[in-house]
Amino acid sequence: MDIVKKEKGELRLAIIRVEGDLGIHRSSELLAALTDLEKGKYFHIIVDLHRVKFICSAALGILISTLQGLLKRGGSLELLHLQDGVKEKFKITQLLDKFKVYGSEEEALESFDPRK
Amino acid sequence: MVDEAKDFIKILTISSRTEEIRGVLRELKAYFGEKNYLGIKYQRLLGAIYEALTNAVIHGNRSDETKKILITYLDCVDKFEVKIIDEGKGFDIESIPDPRLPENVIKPNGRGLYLIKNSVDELCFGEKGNEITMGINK
Repeated sequence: MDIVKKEKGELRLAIIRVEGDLGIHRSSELLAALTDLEKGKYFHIIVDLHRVKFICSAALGILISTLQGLLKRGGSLELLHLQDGVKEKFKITQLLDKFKVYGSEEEALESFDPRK
Repeated sequence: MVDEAKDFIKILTISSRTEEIRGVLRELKAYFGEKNYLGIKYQRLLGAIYEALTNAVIHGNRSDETKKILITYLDCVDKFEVKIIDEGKGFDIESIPDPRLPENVIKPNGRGLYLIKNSVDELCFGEKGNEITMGINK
C-alpha cells in the first residue's frame, strides 16, 4: 500500500494506492493506514483502487465508516479508478452514491482546489 | 477427487484461519480455468465463497484454529454448487438486517451475506444456521 501525502494551501491530503485485491488482510492494512492518516490530521483522503479487482465486505465497511468519520471533521474520502467488479459491489450495497468517484488523480486533486 | 457419473465432487476441510481462504480460491479458480468456466457468474461465485468462508472462520468458528470448515463442491451438467459448514453455533438468517436500509447503509459491517445473495442463483442454509449452500446455473 503506497501512501503519498500532499499539502494544498491549508489542506493536508493523502492518496492511498492499494496494490492488489482488498480481502480481509489487505483491508486491515487499509484500516491501519486510514487511521494513521486521520491521527496525522490528513482529513482529505483519496483511495486509488486502480489495481483492485476484488473488494470484500469488510473493506466496504472500512471505507464507508472512515468516510463518515472524515465528514464529521470537515474532511472527505474520495475514490479513484473503480474496476467493474468493485463498482458492482458498491452499487449492490448502495454505497456508490455516498462517495465521489473520479477517473483520474488530476481530476480528484482538482476537486480540492480551494478556489472552486 | 471422486467422480460420480458425470458430476464432479470434491470435499476438503480447512482450519479456521483466514490465510487458508486464498489457497481454496486459488485452487478453485484454477479448476474453473481448466474447465473454461470463465464468465462473470464464476467470478461472482468466487467472491461469494470468499465472503462465506470469511464468515465461517470469523463469525462461525470465532477464529478457533482447532475448529474445521468443511467445503464441498459439486460440478453438475447444469449447475455448480458449493456447500460450506463450520463448527459454530449458527445464526438465524432472518435476524440479518438489510444493509441497504438508511439506518444500516453507513454501518461498518453486515454486508457479507447480502453480497452473497446477490452473487449466486441459489442460496440455502442448514437448519442450524452453520451451513450455507450456494449455487449458480450454467
